[in-house]
Amino acid sequence: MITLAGARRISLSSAAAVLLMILLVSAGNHAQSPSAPPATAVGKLRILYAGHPGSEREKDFVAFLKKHFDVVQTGNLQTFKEADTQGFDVTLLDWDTNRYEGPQPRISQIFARPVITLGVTGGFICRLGRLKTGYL
Amino acid sequence: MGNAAHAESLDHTVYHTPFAVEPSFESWNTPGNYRWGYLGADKLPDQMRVWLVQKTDQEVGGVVARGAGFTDSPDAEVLAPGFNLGKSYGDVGIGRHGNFLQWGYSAPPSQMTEPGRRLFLNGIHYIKKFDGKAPLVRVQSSARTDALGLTRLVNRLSLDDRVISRLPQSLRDKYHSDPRALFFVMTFSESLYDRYHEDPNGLTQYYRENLEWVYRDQVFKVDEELKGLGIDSNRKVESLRRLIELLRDAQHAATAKKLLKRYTDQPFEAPQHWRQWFEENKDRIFFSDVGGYKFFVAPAGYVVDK
Repeated sequence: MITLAGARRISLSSAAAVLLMILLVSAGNHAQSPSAPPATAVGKLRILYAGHPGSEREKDFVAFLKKHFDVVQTGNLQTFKEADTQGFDVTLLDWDTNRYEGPQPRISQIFARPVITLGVTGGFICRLGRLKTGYL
Repeated sequence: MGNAAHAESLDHTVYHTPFAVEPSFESWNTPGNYRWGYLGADKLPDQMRVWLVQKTDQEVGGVVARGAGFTDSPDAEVLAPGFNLGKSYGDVGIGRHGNFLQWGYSAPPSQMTEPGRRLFLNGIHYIKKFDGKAPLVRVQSSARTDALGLTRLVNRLSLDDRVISRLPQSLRDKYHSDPRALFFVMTFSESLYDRYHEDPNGLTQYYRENLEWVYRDQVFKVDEELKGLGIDSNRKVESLRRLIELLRDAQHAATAKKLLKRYTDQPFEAPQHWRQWFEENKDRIFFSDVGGYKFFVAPAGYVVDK
């Protein structure tokens, strides 16, 4: 279960309890990071997960992501192209094994869309692009 | 890399927004590999504070990126140093370079810990801020601290046979195809081999004393020309300013011009053009070892508040 920073749970029914709740929520808001978005905005990102279609790992990631984001679509890392990221806020590049045989799409140096690379395959994709995040 | 991260960088916004990441900390024995090339002034502690990002039955499986030089450009940051049993202390388990965030851990969400899952979600939100912010530099070289670290290992490392086979025959003959000698020569130069191949501590001391003038031109060199001008570092913006000033000094202009070519990719010839470029960009100039031992200019508005 994911809860927002500073959130509080309380279960009282009297007017005094309502007043107490207001005070607690107010205190909770003060503890929250000033840049934390409201709960309704947290899941607004559109996510592309480009991995190994049909794999258990894909299912695991997608099930998790769908709990937290409104739009989650899948793609195939084997055929991934930069244009696939259009219409998504963040793209995840992943493969279902942490050995060395995962696809390594070459990404151009002008590509500037937000990407999360994962695990060994991610490290190799970054290395291919001569990124500091590449596998050493 | 296995399941854990070092308990560092925890004040970064990615640990707080939008979800609070609240790890449970543990003390683990410091891996022996951390001590091999460790350069810090203090001795590493016997135990280190870590937290579990994921729970798997494997001690390895993820990957780290090289920590040395990772933050020498404003487009990169370490989000979590990865606890590892094969690389160095400070190598990067989770890091960002431009619009790319690498999550080096191996497990899917069902095997992440609750703090791990929260950090993963925060990472997705965080990288969104870097839409349009492609990396400013690409990996061209090793950081100067790698030179120092390699001096500590110089008697243990060998040049790969395939690399040796591509070296000039004369060089192979001179060093009898000895892979350790050739590693030394191809990393630090023949002249340093003559001086230090039986004195690795002396080699370490040489690079330690000259760290501010190290650059890479096939091998790790010390910039004696820059030192000769009385400039105390090759990576300070102030050094760049001084070189531009020296273009107007008849005695040193030729050397200054040569060094400006070495440390920038700018095409200027006239001193006034160098000065104008410097004044317009001085607040956004940075030096990167990893980017090729050069000064670069970050575009206006590139750096994102974190």
